[in-house]
Amino acid sequence: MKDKYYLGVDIGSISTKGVIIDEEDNIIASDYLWTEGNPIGAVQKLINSLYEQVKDKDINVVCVGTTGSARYLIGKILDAGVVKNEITAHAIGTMNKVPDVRTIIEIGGQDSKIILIDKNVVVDYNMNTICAAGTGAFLSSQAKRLGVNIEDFGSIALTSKNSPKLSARCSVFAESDLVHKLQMGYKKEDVIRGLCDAIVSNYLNNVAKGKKLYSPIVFQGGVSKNIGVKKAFEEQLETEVTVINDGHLMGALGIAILAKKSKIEKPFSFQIKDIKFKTIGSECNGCSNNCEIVNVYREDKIIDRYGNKCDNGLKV
Amino acid sequence: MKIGIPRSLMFHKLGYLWIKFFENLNIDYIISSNTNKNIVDAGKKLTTDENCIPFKIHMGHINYLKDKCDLILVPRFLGTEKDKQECIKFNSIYDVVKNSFIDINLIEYDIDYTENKYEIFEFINLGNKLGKKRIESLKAYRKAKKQFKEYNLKRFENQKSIIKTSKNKKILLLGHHYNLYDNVIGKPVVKILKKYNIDPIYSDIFISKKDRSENISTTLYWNSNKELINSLLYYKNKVDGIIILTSFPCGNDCLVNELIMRKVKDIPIINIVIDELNSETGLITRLESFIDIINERSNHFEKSDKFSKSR
Repeated sequence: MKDKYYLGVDIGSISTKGVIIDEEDNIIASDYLWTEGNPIGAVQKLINSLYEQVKDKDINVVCVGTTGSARYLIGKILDAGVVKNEITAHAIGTMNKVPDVRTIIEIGGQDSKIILIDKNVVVDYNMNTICAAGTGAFLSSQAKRLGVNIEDFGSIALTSKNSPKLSARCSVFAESDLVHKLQMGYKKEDVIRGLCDAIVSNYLNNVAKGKKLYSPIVFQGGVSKNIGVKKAFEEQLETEVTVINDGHLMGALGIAILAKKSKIEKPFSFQIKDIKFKTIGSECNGCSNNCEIVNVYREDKIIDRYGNKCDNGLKV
Repeated sequence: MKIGIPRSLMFHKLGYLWIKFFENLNIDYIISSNTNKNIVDAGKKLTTDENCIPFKIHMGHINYLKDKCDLILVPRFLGTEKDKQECIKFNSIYDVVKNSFIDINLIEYDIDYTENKYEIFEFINLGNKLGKKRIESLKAYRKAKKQFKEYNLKRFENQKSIIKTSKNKKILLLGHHYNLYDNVIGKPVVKILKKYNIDPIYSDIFISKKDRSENISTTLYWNSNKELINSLLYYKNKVDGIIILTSFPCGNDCLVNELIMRKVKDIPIINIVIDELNSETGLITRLESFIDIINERSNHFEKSDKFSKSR
């Protein structure tokens, strides 16, 4: 009897993360790559890379879990046993690494959330609404505008001695504020630090509004790699904020653990990386709702379609 | 003669009364279809973008009905008593409809406490306009009102028995009737809840003579918000979680929801705002996580209960 392994995949809007864990929740393979608007391709690349890492061991993956915004699509393609939302997955994954965590701050590419945990149970959460102000996408576009590498953004911010106040309410205002400050003659590093501060106060006002943030606080998501934002959080919350090394993998780890706990077993083969998948969007004319239906094909055979509001959509 | 009844706004509260009134008078009527994309799109085109979604949907329903009947019922409400004032859109809706459509035949009744226009007289007037005698209309109204009361009582009893007997988790859907029962606003939420075997408890199904809303705030203005708070106070300890369902951009709710979120502490609660975006992805993620929280919480409490008992 071979040991059992579990694969967790977290497909965000910007990045795709995957881990393989053993039965003791140890990560034996992991990768992190860009989604680049092509979730299926990204997942196949991811599976390939995970395969390269473990191919000598001949491991047996018994269940796949998917989370993140493309979880349904990828769940179908990988024939996942568990498809869960990213909030639960992140909480489970983080609790595995920091068992006594009370607050998880997450700022990703498109969305930001806060998860509050009490006695190992998620008790409250909040997500940003339609507006993506103060998320990774905003930061990277501002980095481009300033001609700075996004990877250096944080360390540049730390060199600043005084930061101008930027409007934190909305990224559109923040942007015009930023341009204005630059034209006034502020140094680039000061403006960058101002931007980090603005992101944090925007988060505290909009996402964490009215909620009490208990320590220990864990900060994760792509933006947590930005040391300037971490520093700004620590300054504004007046407490220590932890960034774990594998912070970007917590969603994938969480969903892999959930897959393990589910006790569902579905055969999984790494060969999936070579299979051709495609999706075709179509508009259903079954009734006056005109739902947008997504058809998923595997080697030109339809394996699923979804997006319908009523059963008419399944007949098309 | 055929009356068109839009399946929107006050229909979800008073529709049964209207239908019974017309049935008792032997007047033919047609109810517009459930809200769908065509109706929403038509409604959006007919109003300015500042209006709330239920208002836009209402315009869509009128548009749906305009060629299918002789008269469309669009009542106007200011309020039944001084401290029971309805949202301003119910006051304006008749005029807005009248001026937005060319050659549209409307029939209305007008509830306005400032001019002593009470329901009973207005229904007699309504019958009058349809060529019925006063005494006929009065009889039809009395009978309809009785049927309406019985119907509401039965719904309330049903919901109470669900709370008592059902073993599923229960979530209170706190929102206006025209949001809860609308095919585009409330139905998707209910559908997701049912998929996870959760019983939705509707906040509008609640009957009480006493106004307890002062326990939360003494300065609540709109009647519909007072009703919400009363219902909240009644159901709060009988459910596992609360979803505040609002449509964008509701001015009344944006204050009252904040108030509720601050005052109600001991139960999981989220605020879901439905806007015109078509995607349900965000909704599903939010609801799923909320349901996870409720399930986790009760698992946890059951475990710790057992633990404390075994000790």
